[in-house]
Amino acid sequence: MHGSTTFSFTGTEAPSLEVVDLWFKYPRSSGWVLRGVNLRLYPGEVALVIGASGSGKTTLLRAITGVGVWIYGGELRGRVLLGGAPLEELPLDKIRRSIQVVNQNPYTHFIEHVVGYDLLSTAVQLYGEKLGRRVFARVTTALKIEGLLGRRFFELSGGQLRRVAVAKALLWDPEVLVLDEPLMWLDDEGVADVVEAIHVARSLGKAVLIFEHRFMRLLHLADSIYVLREGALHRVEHDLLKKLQRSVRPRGSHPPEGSGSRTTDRPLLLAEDVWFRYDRREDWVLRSLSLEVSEGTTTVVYGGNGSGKSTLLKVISGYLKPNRGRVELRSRAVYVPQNIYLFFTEESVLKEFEVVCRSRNLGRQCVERGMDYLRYLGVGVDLEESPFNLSWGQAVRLAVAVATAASVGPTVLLLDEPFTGLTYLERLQLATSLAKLGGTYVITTSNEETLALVSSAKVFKLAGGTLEELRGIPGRDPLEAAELCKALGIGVNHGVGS
Amino acid sequence: MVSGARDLAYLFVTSGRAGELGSVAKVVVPLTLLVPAVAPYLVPGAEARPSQPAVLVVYELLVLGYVAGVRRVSRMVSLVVLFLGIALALSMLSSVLGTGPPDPTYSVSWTLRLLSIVLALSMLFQLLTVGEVRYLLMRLGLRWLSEVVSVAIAQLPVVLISFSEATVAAVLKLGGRRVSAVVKPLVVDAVVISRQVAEALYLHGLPPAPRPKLIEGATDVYLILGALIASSVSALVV
Repeated sequence: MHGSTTFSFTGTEAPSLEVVDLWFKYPRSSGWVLRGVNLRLYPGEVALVIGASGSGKTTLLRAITGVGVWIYGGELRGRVLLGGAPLEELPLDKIRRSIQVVNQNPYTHFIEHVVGYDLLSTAVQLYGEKLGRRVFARVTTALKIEGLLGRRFFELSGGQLRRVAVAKALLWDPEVLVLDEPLMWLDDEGVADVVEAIHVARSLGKAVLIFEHRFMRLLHLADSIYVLREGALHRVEHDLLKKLQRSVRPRGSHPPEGSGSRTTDRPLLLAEDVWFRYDRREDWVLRSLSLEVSEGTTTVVYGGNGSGKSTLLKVISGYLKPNRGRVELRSRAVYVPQNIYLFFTEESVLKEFEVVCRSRNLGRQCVERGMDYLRYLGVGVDLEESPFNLSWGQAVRLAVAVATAASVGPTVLLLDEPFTGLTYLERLQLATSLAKLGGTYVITTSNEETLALVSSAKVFKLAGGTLEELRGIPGRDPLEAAELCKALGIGVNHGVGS
Repeated sequence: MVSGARDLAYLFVTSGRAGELGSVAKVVVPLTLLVPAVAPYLVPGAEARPSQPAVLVVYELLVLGYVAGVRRVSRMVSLVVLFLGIALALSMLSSVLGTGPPDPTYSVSWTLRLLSIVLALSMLFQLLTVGEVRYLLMRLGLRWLSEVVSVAIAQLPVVLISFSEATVAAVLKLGGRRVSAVVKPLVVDAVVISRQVAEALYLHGLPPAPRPKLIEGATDVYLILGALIASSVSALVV
């Protein structure tokens, strides 16, 4: 591994993007987030940048597109060249035609609700009515999204949404396509969709820059791989990576076992023949579903995007009432949503504990217990810090500590996709934290690769509205990936990028 | 609450068949129905007759059924009726207490009138694409407002999804008494989304608001005629 400055993809072609000794900091940040980044990206090249949460991946993206300066008012030193021209000298329209981004939240890319209207109006904006319609037809066919054009963007699954967002970006015919965490919230099918979209972009000669911490599924695609660490990019040679992959074995990172200290046979949750649908005129989301959760156990519900996992959690929490069947909850339930920041209601970590303890008429002891849990889970944050400023991994563990601290008697923690925004190491850390606490958990996940992290759990597959127990834990990819992260020096950062 | 938020979102989301109508019909039909529904609010001492707004409501449901499909309309209506039912109940209660309207006919009439206004506004949002809203506002000289409104309409469904998630989390975390606690995470979420929208606008810009097609076909004419008839009948019936 070495600092990257001179990677040549095609040898003779000029780079689509060149970054030279780039430094960047936000207006109110004390230090530089980026410290001398160098990068060259050539037409048709796919580069993968990996790094811990808060390592500055999104900041790098903002810096090279001009968003960092123009939207965030940050300070930038060094040079960014798009197609050989300095970024600061390019008019906005030229920047848009040179570099396009699919960001972490592709919902924000759409103005028209109906996907087809949105894409077509963009194409017409760029090329006029006649040519615009031809470009629109070509791009939508290339990305195989014709079937999605009549749908509304907020009805699409994560994978479909990203594929459509890539199509919208390609309408601009940019030289560089940047994907920020493209696999976030995607199920296994969605990942395949994104991989396919990247193949298409490359086949069209675009330089593709991918920022992703869930990188294992993208390694085979990448022509060059970089690690963003301490504000600088370090190139990883494929040979070195292969060697590391061969050498890492999940020695220290074995799947965390449940503590078992509080495991009993006492069922806390019984769902029998549950049927649920949002509307009488709609299909059933849950059909004749049965589930039993005993105290101190972990239950994992695995299923694709839109399979009804979140609905299931809301039904078993008692928030949604089943249309048929019976749900018996013999304890409290706390729901931790997929967007973890929607869980927090207070302005500081300390107040989170105080308010939740007060809501259950518990005193100072409850708050102290919460602090203990926080330390136990290795979340070293200032108690006056806003929970909204924590990194995703810290926020998930804080939510678990808050929910556990205020439990008088058994509580079932319902965690909706808790692993999704985390690096491989953070996933392992969270799985270890949950096992340490030995609580009762129902966890949803859309990725098979996370199942290895909860090997002691009962795993069910949710498909067609029913649950089927899965026997046997699949491969050890995430554990190896966590080891690989360590070998590559991708630790766990304790802050967010901005 | 979860499905309610979704149904509420659909009240303001462009319908898939919106492209089959010309802009004149999209604007004239809802406004023609809106005027007789709103006018009594502006005229002091206006008489309350339930049959007047009932005519408007029936026609609005027919148009919405054509544009958005019966299934979606029934979902929307059930939500609107729920809210109006609450309003009606409160109105009746205040009548019993001697502080409200004099009789149930009055309450029913004004409730129907309110329903007709909500449906007409919903029709406007379901018929017009965001680009058309922008075009109209720009033509009125409201360029800045046109951009704000476009983004607000575009992101409304996403915000409502966040609202639904935050509500479930807060109710289970703090108990049903502190639902107001959802305000803080939603404000933070809105700030985060607005930043991301700003980034997306920087990179994509707003698509232009091209001059929309004024007349698309015979359906436009039928719908406008129907709206004029419904509006006139509602003014004439006793």
